[in-house]
This record gives sequence, structure tokens and C-alpha cells, in this order.
Amino acid sequence: MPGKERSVVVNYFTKLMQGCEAASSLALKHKEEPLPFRKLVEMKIHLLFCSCCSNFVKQSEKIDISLNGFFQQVSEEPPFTAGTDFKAMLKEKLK
Amino acid sequence: MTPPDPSKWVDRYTDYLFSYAFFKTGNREDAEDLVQETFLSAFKSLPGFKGNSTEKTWLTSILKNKIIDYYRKKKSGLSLDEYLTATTDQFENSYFTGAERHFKADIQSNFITESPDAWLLGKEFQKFLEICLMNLPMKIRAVFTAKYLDDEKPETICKEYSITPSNYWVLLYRAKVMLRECLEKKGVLS
Repeated sequence: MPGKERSVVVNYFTKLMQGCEAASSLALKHKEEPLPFRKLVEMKIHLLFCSCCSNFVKQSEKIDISLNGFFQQVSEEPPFTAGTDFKAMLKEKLK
Repeated sequence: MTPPDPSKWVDRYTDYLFSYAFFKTGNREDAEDLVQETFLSAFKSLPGFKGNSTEKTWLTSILKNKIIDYYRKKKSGLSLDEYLTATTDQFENSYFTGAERHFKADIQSNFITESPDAWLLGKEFQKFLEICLMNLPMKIRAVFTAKYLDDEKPETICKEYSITPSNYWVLLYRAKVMLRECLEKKGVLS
């Protein structure tokens, strides 16, 4: 590959590998809605070579599992308790 | 259809509604006020209850609308969009490094990824999660819980909290980054 074209390709890949914030946020968004094709490909390439971002995406999936379990449980076992005086006052008001 | 029975509401639903409101407001007194207003509104509109949903779902939807009003009235300080813009540097400097904005090294911690799903759903980890959720900045937590607790669609959340779609994604991303870091720290402590 001629020097000039090679440097264009190298610059493009260098730029792709910069910006974990942009790539990892796109990866999260892509879990819920489609991305424009170019952004999708660039994000995938970044993740392929960036262990930080691919790790973040795995961690995010695990956190989602935990979050969904947690919020399902909130309905059955509320994590916080209202004060007894407050409950007594409510009972009076609802008579 | 079983008719609503207000005499049983307090024992049946107060803790759930209080937890719901406390997650979204971060303030005990405000949460109690909102629950009280919810019960009183529901009590007044009992004749209008058609039984299309359960009593609990009906009360939750009243509370949800009260919380949205609470945020609309509470216009003190920055709007959510302004808050996100104002805190961009602080967020990026905390979690990313260099002009290239690479993740800081701690992203390679693997407490979360190496934990089996059963542990992530167990009481101990869920307690960490509760602590970390409550540590999220209030403005972020209200929207974050609208997604995970209410399972609402992005367009609904944007409308309810007057936030742009792009900032909605920024907000969810920040919440996830902060939550991840907090959970990894708890993992180190465990």
C-alpha cells in the first residue's frame, strides 16, 4: 500500500481506537435501538480491539440482570419502610 | 372485580409505594408526602376506579404522576439538560483519561463479570446494588429508575422528565458507568 493511503488507513484506525466513552455509550444504546450502519461498524471495531470497552459491555449486561431482579423484588419485598407514626396517621385519614 | 378497600391500603401498599417514591426522590419526607397525597387522591376518586387494573397498579400510576408533577414544580436549580452539560467535564475526568478519553485502568476489574448470575440476584449483591443506586446523583436516579423500575420507553421518559433524546442516552450511560464503579468497589470490600 502506498505511503499516503497507508497513513490514511492508520489515522482512521487510530481515531477509531480513541474515544472509549463514545464507543461504549454507543454499545449500550445499540442494546435497545439500531444504530446507523457506519456508527455500528465503528463501534464494533473499537470493541474488537479495546478490552476496556468490551469488559464494560459485559459488566453492563451483568448489572442489567441484577437491576431487573432487584426492581422485580421491590414489589414483593420493598427495601424501605415508612415510619409507624406515618402509617398510623394515614390510617386515620383514610377512615 | 374486587372493589377497592381503603381500610387495607396502608398495610398492603405503604412500604411499596414509599420505596418507589424514595427511589425517585431520595428524600424521606418528600416520599411520605407523595404517598399520602396518592392515598388521598385515590380515596377521593374511588367512584372513578373501574377495575381495569389491580388496586396496586392503580395506586402506583397515581403516585407516578405525582412524582412527575413533583419534578416539574421543583424547578429550582438546573434543568436536567443543563445539569448534564454542566457536569460533563467532572464526569469525564472521573472515569476517562487523556485527550483520547480512554477508560481509566479500573475498568479491567472483574468482580462483576466473574460473578455468577445467582450471586448477582442474591441478597448480598442486591444490597450493594441498593446502596449504589442510592448513591447515584438524584437527577440521574429519577430517570434511571423510570427505565428499570417502570420499564418505560425512552420517548415516554423524555416527555415526562423534559429531557432531549440524546441526553437521555447520556444520562443512562453515566448512571451505568457510576453504578459499575460503585459495585466494583463494593466487590473489593466484600
